Formats: sequence, structure tokens, C-alpha cells
Amino acid sequence: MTATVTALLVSHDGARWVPSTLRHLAAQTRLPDRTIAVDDASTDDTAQLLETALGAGSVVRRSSRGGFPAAVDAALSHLPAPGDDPAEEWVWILHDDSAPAPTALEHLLAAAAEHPEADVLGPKIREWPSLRRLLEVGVTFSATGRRETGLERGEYDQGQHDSARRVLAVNTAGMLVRRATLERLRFDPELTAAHADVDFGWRAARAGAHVRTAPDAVVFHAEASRSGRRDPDRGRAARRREERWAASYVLLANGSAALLPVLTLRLLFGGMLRAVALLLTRAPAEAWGELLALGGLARPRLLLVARRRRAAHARVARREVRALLAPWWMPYRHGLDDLAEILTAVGHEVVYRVRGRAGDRTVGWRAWVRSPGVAVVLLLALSALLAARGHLGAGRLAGGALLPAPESALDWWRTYLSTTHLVGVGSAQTAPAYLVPLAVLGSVLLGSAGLASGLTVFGAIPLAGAGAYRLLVRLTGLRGSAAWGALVYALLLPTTGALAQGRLGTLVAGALLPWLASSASGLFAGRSTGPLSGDPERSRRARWRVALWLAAVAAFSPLLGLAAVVAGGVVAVLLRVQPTSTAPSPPSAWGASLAPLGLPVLAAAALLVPWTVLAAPQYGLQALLDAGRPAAGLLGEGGAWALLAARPGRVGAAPDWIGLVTPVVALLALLRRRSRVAVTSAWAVALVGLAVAAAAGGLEVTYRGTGTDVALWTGGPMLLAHGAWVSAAALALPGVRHELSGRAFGLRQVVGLLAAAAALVAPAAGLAWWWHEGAGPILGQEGRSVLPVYLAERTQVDPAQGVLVLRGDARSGYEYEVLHAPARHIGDDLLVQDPAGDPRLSDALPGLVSAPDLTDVEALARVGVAFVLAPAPADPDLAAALDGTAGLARASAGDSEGAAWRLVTPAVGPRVNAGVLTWLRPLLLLVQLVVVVGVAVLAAPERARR
Amino acid sequence: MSRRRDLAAGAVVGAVGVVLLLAPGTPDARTSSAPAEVPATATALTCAAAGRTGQTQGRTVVGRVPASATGRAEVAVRVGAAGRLRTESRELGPSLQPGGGALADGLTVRGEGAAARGLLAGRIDEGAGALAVLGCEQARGSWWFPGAGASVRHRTELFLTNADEGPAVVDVRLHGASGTVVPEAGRGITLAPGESRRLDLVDLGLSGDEVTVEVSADRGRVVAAALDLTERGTADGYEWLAPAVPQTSGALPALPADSGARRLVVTNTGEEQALVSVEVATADGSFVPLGVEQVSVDPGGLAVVDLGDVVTEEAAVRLSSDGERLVAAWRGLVGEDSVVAGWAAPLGGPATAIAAGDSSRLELVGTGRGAARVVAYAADGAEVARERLDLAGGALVTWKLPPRAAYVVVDPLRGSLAGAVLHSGPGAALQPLVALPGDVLVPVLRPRE
Repeated sequence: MTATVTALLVSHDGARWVPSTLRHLAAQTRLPDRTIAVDDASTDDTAQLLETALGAGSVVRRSSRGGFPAAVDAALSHLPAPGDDPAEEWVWILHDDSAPAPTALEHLLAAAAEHPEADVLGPKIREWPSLRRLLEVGVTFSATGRRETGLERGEYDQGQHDSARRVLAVNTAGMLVRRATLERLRFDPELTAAHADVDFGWRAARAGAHVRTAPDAVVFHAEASRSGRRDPDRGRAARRREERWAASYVLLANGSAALLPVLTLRLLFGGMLRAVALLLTRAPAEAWGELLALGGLARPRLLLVARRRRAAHARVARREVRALLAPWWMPYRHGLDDLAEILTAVGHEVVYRVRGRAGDRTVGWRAWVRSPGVAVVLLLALSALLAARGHLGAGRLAGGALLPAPESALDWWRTYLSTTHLVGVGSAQTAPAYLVPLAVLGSVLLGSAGLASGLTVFGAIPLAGAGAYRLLVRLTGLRGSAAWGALVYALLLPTTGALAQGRLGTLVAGALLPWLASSASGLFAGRSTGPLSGDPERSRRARWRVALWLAAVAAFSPLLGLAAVVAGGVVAVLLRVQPTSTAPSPPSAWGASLAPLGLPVLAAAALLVPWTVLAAPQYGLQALLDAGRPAAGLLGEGGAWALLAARPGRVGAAPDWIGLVTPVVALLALLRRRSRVAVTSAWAVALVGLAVAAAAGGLEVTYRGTGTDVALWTGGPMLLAHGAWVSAAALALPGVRHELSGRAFGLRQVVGLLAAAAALVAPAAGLAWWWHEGAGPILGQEGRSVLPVYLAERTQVDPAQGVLVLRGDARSGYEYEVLHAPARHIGDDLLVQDPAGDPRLSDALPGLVSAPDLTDVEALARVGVAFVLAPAPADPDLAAALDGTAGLARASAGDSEGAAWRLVTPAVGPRVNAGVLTWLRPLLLLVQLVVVVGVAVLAAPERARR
Repeated sequence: MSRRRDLAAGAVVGAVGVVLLLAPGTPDARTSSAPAEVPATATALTCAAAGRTGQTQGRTVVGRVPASATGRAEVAVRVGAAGRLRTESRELGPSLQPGGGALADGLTVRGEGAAARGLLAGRIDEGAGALAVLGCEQARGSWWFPGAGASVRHRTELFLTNADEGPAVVDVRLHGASGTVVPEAGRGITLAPGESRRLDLVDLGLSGDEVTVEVSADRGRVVAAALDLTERGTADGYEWLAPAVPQTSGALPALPADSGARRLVVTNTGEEQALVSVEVATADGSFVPLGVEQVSVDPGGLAVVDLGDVVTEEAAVRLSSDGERLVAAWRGLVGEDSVVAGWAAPLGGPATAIAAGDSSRLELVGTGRGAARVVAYAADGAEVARERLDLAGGALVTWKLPPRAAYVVVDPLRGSLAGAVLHSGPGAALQPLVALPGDVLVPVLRPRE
């Protein structure tokens, strides 16, 4: 009783491997009794190769590609009728990229003889061409549709898996299967790409067949399909989709019917979770494939047919097969492994970022702690903590340009995602983009918006120092001068008065500016020559990082964002013109030199999308205002002096001379011939900052919150100018001591010493000033609630019931606002619109404070005002007049919290007609989400690939 | 190469210099906090509903000065203490016409839109040899009546009217020689919308021949009037006390020459001791009366100065304090009728007074040189006399209204002026000039940033 073996070779575009496969087949110690090859519509010369080797009669050529199951079917139909002993007729399936070791068939048949109950036998599969790495020795399936081989990735074969055992399935490459079993069960025609073997094994197990491994037999497999080498044109997304779809299909077709809903849900959530994880690890194509595969879950008819067919063959109870499947905890173990891998990748990147690339190469925490950069950042952080005392936690950080933080970060999300807002008399203005980073930070801080606001305001200063240090180390390669520059730059935030005036926009944008500059220097890394040359891949990734930083800077300070873009253009042109070529480039080349900036700028605009689209029509020039209130009353006089000393504000700034030192030192830096090119470039950036600050300083924009023209705070572009000057000074430092000490004492030394003294005294004085002043008196002037407790509670219960607050008296005028919350919050600054600009109120408000009557009161009710409050000390004349007005009834008991009246007419909540924004803005938000995820993925650290 | 670098560096620094030179200053914020004067859009003048005095008979008059545009004004007459209003809408041309209704009902004249400007209204009480004239006023939260009394021989009745549409709660305080007294019955007097209330100071449980009454609203606004009754022989002399606004200096118009014993009452409304300088203004000029150059008044208290010996001729009195705000009045007696000159506020714009009695005479007193245009109108709105009055430094100027005149409009042209109209025969009455409703101050409104 001898076995009859038919070798069945399935090929598709395998010309690369087929000759070797055929050679290995011919070298078998036990040759197959017949060989039949099926070519599945190859476009290369695979078919010819096969016909040459096997003869045309043994090759089935399929004209259209039908996939593996159809090819096997085609081959089976070409086989002659079974002989006398059908039980001993075997089919040995080989792929065009699977080369059997010479003894493969011999060992397989030996195993078959040893285990007569076995219907399917699988060899040990090793990697081709490395030949030693194990790929599979039998395979099973986890409940999430993952092939479980029980092997470590890339495990070497040292005989450790050489015990033969019963398994769920074996790979089709090298599979020896009884012809009768194969003809009875066939491969599922739906599974053309992946998991046909698992499905076959599973069905075989249900049908009572035995699948065993025969580890003595070895087949080398290139896994050309799975790795994408067979179809290089097919994208990673398509391969991922096919693989995941097949996995879902196999699970749902073979799984227990009672568990189907659970399985489906698990596949759905698992798929989405994997998509997110893949995005995080910068594998967008695979993530997309995951999502596409989920669509396959919505094909119940196909599944029904598949399940019926399986039920027809089933002979064995499901629980007997269960032992062959992977244990339940297997997916979780893999999940933990993946998570650890992602965290490791991100962690590596963070360490890499913070340490900087050029300077702090020394490894180990000791070196890190000794770094002057760390010392500067620590000093700044401690100083910020000192300034923040009394302002953190109490929720009283507001005043000047800074509004109080809302109760929770959820309020920020709500404001950002809403099209219309319960602010003032209602608003359909687009929420500012800077709410997104704040909301994210607040969410990370467990929803505490107050903590997020405090951390943003005070944390900006050490963050600015860290960024400036990193940038300067990169530019100068000198840690000492970088630390000096970082200290001077970071101290600009308090010394310009940005901190004392609560200029949130300038603080954050100023903190992010050096990070932006640092990433932007990577844009030119693709250049083969020049000071910033480097890795082209880094340059590609830098574009997306620049886009992210730029979007953040522009969201908080549009003026600084604008200045940064112009400065980037200037630097790009200068880099092109200056150092490498001896002849100046023609102007036409300037456009080309600006090209690397195009993508980041466009991407930054796309990142801020609802705002970039709607800001111009809704805000006009108001869009140039920094985040926060305009607080134009706190602005300084402007002019040349303000620019030189970086003193945009009238109050809260350090003595002017501290600011003047930087431009003076930067001017002296120009005297050094060796670094003149770089210092001139820095001056060009300073020029851009100054020009933008000067142009914006003379501008007045209409602030819709008050309906008045306000001057702009120009602290943002001033930071760019002074930051550039700091860089200029730092760029001139390398080697200066050596150069000066090597010469005879003269004017040079005097100038150098004076400059050094000034450069050292200024930050010391700035720091001392800051320690003394702290956060200044303006922040903390405003409480969290403008309203007395009973009204604050009312607005929280029903925010549609607005409160008109009237402060002041008839002689000096009244200041009014309509509140729907205990106070206005960060973010409302851009949303609020002057109620008097509302045609429904233009008569009512003046009427209310001069000769109030019922008409005025009814007009208030129509825009959502339910209460009128005159905070203490209430103007007695106003109070008396409102007491006597029909439609108003006193709501306040005492006068300690001011006088309040309830409108007798129930207020109709402010109705805002958002028009096209009702659908347009959600659409734009969706676009933004996609862009943010996309850019984040492209800019994110790459997953370590093994 | 190096040359080019130097040039580039020079060019960049030069450009920075140019930017600095061209850098503009921060534009000034154009914010104004001065209230704007705009034409009033609604005015309500209310006269006290005082009918219970018995001795008085008289009439109310309403009208509008000719210079103002025509328009419909609503005249509301209040009926009964419950404050139900009988309202009639009337075309009020440039004329003075009877207000209608009984004196006891009180009167409110309300003008809206164009009719809000130039409204005037008053009541004239006459009979039994006495005369009193009351200009109707707009509601407010604080009223002072110096020259009142709470004794058998000299008592004052206070009339409170809430002409608004919300409730009003007022306190009545008395300032006497011993300081401020807040009687229990004077606390928290609540007036429903439209309600009128009569209060006899004696009934409040107080006594004092000379007191100053203060009405202060805790909630809402009222119109207050004080009828001063002086027991003289068979009939009482009566006079509506002029409401006073506390200020550091002011004038008391001249009493008639035959006013007999004149008593000056000064109340210090401030928190500190006040030292008050007294000056007498006659037609010829002003002088400081010997012996009473300065009067010291306790905070919240009251000082009475007998000026009968010092001032005999027709003269006004000017008072100024060293810081605290004052209210003052001085009183005399013409025949059986009392006459009280109230604390005249400097005129801020056109002011008016109606004519009553046999003859009326305008008195103007200024602190320095000044000028005013006075126009007298007949009841039908026809102009009967027009005069420009010039005031020498600190002197008193009088101008007799022509017999046909029904009211007079005084328009201050220059200087700081105050004035009143003296009505005489039978009896005498001094009526302060009441500002003509015209422009109102609309406070500046700023949205909070």
C-alpha cells in the first residue's frame, strides 16, 4: 500500500522564485508521482518557465486571476480519477515561492504513515532566503483574527519546535493533504488572499479530520504575497484590508453562532483601536486598511451562505475544536506588547527632542543634569513658580488681557465645537483655534481648566527657555552661549510685560517660537551643503512639525505667526544666496528657495481650518489680535524706543535699559567678521519682526466685543525681533574669548568686555526684577465670578437666562456686559459682540440708563436678558430709576452685592441664526480633525520597525 | 566676498534703522466719558395731591413753552390715595391751560417724544390772604426741605407721590438742632405704584420749630412736596417749601422788604463739622453781615440765624461752606402769610416759573458777573416781554413780570445764576425756578471688554 502523491504548484507572477522552487522539487529524495502546476494569470514568464520544466501538459494556465482557492480547484479538475486506494492518494500543495528541502516529502509521508489518522500534514516553514528563521510550525487563530504561530518574531530554528502535534491548521505552502479531504472540503473561494489555510484547517477539524505538523519536513517560504513583493503596486492599505477582512470572515464564518454579536462588536472596536494605534505609530496606510476592512462586517448574506456550507460538513462538536484555537488571553498579551512598543518609540523620541541633537550628545542622566540648559530651565521654572504663588489653584488668574478660565475643560470643548454661543446677546462667531490646545491640556489635567490656564501662563516661560536653548545649541553648538541666550529670551516674556498684562497669546506663541524655529531649521536639512545640511528624511518630517508649531503659534498670536512666516522666507532666500555659491543666485531662484516653506504654511493654514476659512469674513482685521482681550488701555506709546527695548505695554514691564541691552550686544556682534554672515541673517529676521511690529503698531482694528477701534499689542513680533537679536549675539560668541586673548590689549578688548558685562548684567537684572515683581498686580484683579452667588447659580441652572451687568455711574459712564455664566472665559474674547451693535438693543441700552421704560425692558427680554445687575456700589440714581420701571422687579435683598432686578417678562434665550455656518462649520471641523490627525501622524516619531 | 558681506550687514542694519525711524506711535484710544446731552424722550412732572389742607383753594396749570415743538402730551390726574389714574391725552400747544381735576387728586403731566421737551406744570394755592405756588417736579430718589417745622405754631405736611410703575420705599429723616432723627414711623414707608401719601411731621412724633426734612428713597423714586403751615391769627399762612439739593455753596433769593423777622436755617448734610460763610447780596452789591460772618453747623444738624436785624432791605443771601454740602432756607412773614426762600440751585439751562397773585417779580442772584435772557409769556403762548438782564458781581437783580404774563422762562447766558419768582398779593410766595425739561444727560455706555 504505497501513497500516491501529486505535487500541486500554484503560481502567480513568481518568475523570481519558480526556477528555484522547481529545482528543489526535482531534488526531492522521494519524488512526487506526478506534478501539476496552475498558473494563475501571471503577467511575467512564470507560465513559460513552468511549461519548459514540466511540459505543457502538466501546466494549467488560467487566463484570469481567480486567487489561490480557484487555482487549486482548477488543478483538482485536471487530475485523473482517483486510483484503487483513494485513501492513499495525497496532494502536496506548493507555492511558487516555497522551496521544499530535499527530504521534505519523504518526512511528510513518513509522518503520514506514522499517524494514519492524519488527513492534513504541514511541514516546518522557514524563511527564504535566510533559511534559519522559523516562520510557522502549525498555526492557530485568536479570537481577534490574528494568526498565532506560537513563535517569537524572527526566532531561529534550533530544533526547539520539533515535536509533532495536532494543530488547527498548517500553511498551504508545503501542505500534504489527502486528495479526498481536499476534494470534499475545498478552499473557500472567498479567501483569495489570506487565511485560506486557517479556514481550511478549522473546517477540517469540524469535519472530523486531523491536521498535524511534521517538523522534520522543512519548506522554505518567501511569503511573497504577505510581504507585498508579489504585487509591489498594491498598496499597504489594500493588503491590510484584505488580510483583516479575511480574518473577520474566517472568525465569523466558523465561530459559534451564539457569540456572533459579541464577535462582531469585538472586531469592530478592535479594528478601530488598531487603526488609532497604527496612526499613532505613523502607519496611516495600514490604519486606513483596518478601517476599510470594517466595511466587510456589513455583508450578512455572504456570511450566512458561508456558515450554511460549513454546517453541512460539520461532524465534530465545536468544543472539541476549541482546544485547537488560541487561548482567550492571547490578544491581550499582544495588546500589552504593542502598547509597550509604542510607548518605547514615543519615549525615545521625547528624550531625543529634549536633549537636542547637536550639543548634549553625552549619554546618561549625570551629563543631562549638568547641562547648563537644564539649569536655565530649572531656574526659570522655579522663578515662574515664585511668580505664580497666590495665582495658582485659587482660580483667580485673570486680569488685563487674560479672562478667567472656565469651570472645566469641557466648557472649552463645548465652545470650540459649537457653532452658536451663549455669549452676550448670542454669537455665531467662530471659536478661536487656540481653544483646542487649551482644551487638550485641560483634559489631560483631568478637566481642570484653571490649572491649564495657570500652567500655560506661567509654564510658558521655562518652555520658552527650553526651546531657545535647543535652538541655540543647534545654531551655535555652544552650550554656554545657548544657556545665556535661552535665559535672555525666556525673560522677555515677563520683562516685556506680557506676563503682567496677562497676554496669553504672546506668552504661548513666544514660548513656542523657538521650537518652531528649531523645527524650521530642519527644513533645510535636505540640502546637501550649507550650515544646516543633513538627513532628507528628517527634512520631510520637519515640514509637518513646522506646520504644527506654526499653526499653534498663529493660533495664539496671529501677528507672530505672520512675522514668523515672513522671517522664514527671508532666511530661506538668504541661505540660498549666501554661503555656498560664489556668484549670487538669480532672482528666479528665490522662488525655488521659498519652496520648502510652501507645504508647512499651507498645512498650518489647513490645521486651523474653521478659523482660516471664517476669520476673514467674520473678524476682518480683528483676527490679528492675540489670544485674549485687546486691553488696549494697557498699551504703551509705541515708536522706535518701544521696539528697541521691547516694551509694547505701558504697565508691567521691566526698566527699559534691560531690554535695550540685547540690540546693543547684537550690534556689537556684527563687528566679528568670522560670524558676520550668520549674524546678518539673524539681523534680517529681527528686521522682519520689527517691521511687522511697527506696521501693526500703527494699526487700529475694530474689536467687535466693544464695537470700538483698538490698537494692537505688538509683543509677538517684538519677541521675534529680540529673539533674533539674542541669536545674533549667541552666534558671535563661539571662539570670541580665544580670539580676544590672542591679541594685544586694545579697543577690541574693551568693547568685548563691555558687551560681555552688559550681556551678563541684563538677564541678571531682569531676573531680579521678575523675582521682585512676580506676576504683577493686574493678574488677579478679577474674580472668577462677576455675579453674586444667587445669580451665578441661576446662570448655571439655565444659561439661556442672561444677566445684564451695568457698572459705573451716570457721570463717568456705564460699562455693560451680558453674561450667561458667572463670568466671561478664555475664548469668549473673540466670540463676544457688542450688545449695543445689536439692532434690537441699540435704543434699549441708552434708554435703560437715562429714562427707562417698559419698551426698553421688553427689548432686553427679547435678547435673552432675564436679570439686570448693578454691582455694588450701585449708582443710586440708576437704581431708583430701574426700581420705578415697569417690567422690572427687585431681585436683590441687600445692597452689599449690588442691586439686581428680575425682568417680569420671561426672557427668550438669545436666538442666533447661524445661516450656512449651521452645516458649514461642523464640516470644516471634520476637515480640521482629519488634517490634525494626518499632520500629527506625519510629524510623529516613527515606529521602530524590526 | 568679505566686502559683500559687510555691505549686506550694513544694509540690514540700515533697514532696521529706517523701520525704527518710521515706527508709528500707538494710536490714541478715542474714548469719552462725558455724558452726552440728548433731547429728552419722556418727561413726567408731578404735583402733590394736597387737598386736605382745607384752607386752600386754587388751580393747577399745565403747558409748554412756545420754543418747543408741538405734540401730544398725556395729562394724568390721580384720583384717590389708591393711585388710580384718570388719564387724558391732550394736545398741549404753546400755552398754559388748566390742569383739571381737584387739587386733592394731584396731577401728573407726561410728555413723550417731542412733547417731552418744554413741559411745565404747577399749582397755585390761594385764599384766606395767603398764596403758595408749587412747580411740579420729576421724580427722584432724594429730597431735602429746609425751613420746615414740627411744632404747633409751625408745622409742615409732607406729600409723597410715587408716579413710577414700580414700588417705592422711602425713609423720612429730620435734621434739627440736636442732629439727625429718624422717627420710627418715618422708616420704610412703602408706596405702591401711583400711590400718594400725606405725612404730618407732628404725627411722626417729632417736635422742633425749625427742622429740615430729608426724604430718601431706598427703592424707587418719589416726588415729594412740603407744605409749610404757620399759625398766624385766624388763618394759617402757608407756603410750599422749595426742594433743595445739597451743595457746598448757593443762594437764597430775596425775601420781600417787609418780611419782618427773617430767620436763616442752615443744615449740614455732610459728615463733618461745616463752617458756613454768609454774604448778603443787594441790588447795589454784596456785603458780609457783621456778627454772623460765619456759622458753624454740626454734621446732620441745623443752625438757625436771626438775620432780622442785619438785613432789612430786599436782599438775597449767599452761603458757602468749607467743604460740606449744605441745604438752607430763610423765612419771613408778609402780613399773615409766611414766605420762605429756598436753596436755589445754579441754573444749568432754561428754567421756568408760573406767575401767580397780583404781581410777580423775578429775582436773580449770581456769584460773579452774569447775564440771562428772560422772556415772559401770556397764557396763550404769546410773548409779552423780553429782556436781557446783566448782573454785576454778586448783586441781586429783579425784574417785574408784565401783568399779562402767565409764566416766565429764564435762559442763563453767562455766569452762575440762581433765581426765584416772588409772587405777592394777597399774601406772598417765593417759587424757585424749575428747570425746563429739555435735554437729558445720557451717560456714556461702554461695553465691557
